[in-house]
Amino acid sequence: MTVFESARQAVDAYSVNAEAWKPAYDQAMACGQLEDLLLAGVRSLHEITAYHHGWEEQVLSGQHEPDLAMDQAIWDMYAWWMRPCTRIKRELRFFERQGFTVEYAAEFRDSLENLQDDRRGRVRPKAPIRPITSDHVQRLASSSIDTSRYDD
Amino acid sequence: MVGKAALTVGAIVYVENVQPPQGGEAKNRRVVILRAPTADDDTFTFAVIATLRGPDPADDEVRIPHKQIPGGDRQTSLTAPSVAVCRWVQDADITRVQSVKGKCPSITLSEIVRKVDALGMSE
Repeated sequence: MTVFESARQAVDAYSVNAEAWKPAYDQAMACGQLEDLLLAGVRSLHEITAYHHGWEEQVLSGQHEPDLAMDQAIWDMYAWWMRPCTRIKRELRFFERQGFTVEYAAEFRDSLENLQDDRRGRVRPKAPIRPITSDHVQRLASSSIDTSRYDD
Repeated sequence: MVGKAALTVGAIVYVENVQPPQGGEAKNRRVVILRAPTADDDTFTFAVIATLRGPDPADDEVRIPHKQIPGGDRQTSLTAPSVAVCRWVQDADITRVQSVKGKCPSITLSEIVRKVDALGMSE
């Protein structure tokens, strides 16, 4: 083998290795981007739920007037959060099938599952939340309840 | 005794001697707080939590998330299908709280409050 042929072989091997390395690198980068997205998703849902709980506390303690528009806006934020979740779950499964351990996957799935549980069977609010008062308690005190249903 | 600061709206707590509305034997029950105690008021308002009977909640009940695993749902701590009974609403003094068990998720809490409000105003 001439010096030229030897150099050519080395360049060929280098070139092939470079091509082989590129897809794996691209995939790792894409997985990293997905991890960033999952973290952003978990954090943004945490912000929505914290805001929602604060809103409920303010209204139910009488510190803020009931406001149906705000209740609906909060409901819509949850809906917007859920909108890309099917696509994100599909991408997550793709990377996991490729053998990647995707950071924040468990937190994301947990957050999504909890939100789905919380929303199950509910519809966009048509009435605002209002403080529960002694009037409610007094009126409901005379309610007819079959408590035998609730003997745990 | 459980501190007042822990008794926020949506907290799921164990309360002693919850009286049935039509009288009868009082029992210790899990409840969800709908009106929290304040600096000048040691009472709070709650709705009773009970096990769901049948596949779906009744019209005056709201389903609360649960998980059939040891320790239950991470938020609610409930291990069995459960509902808030929105007609069974009472006041209690904070001294009757035995322990804090978890927290009702916000969407569910809003649903309970709306139902109690509607039932309370229509009775």
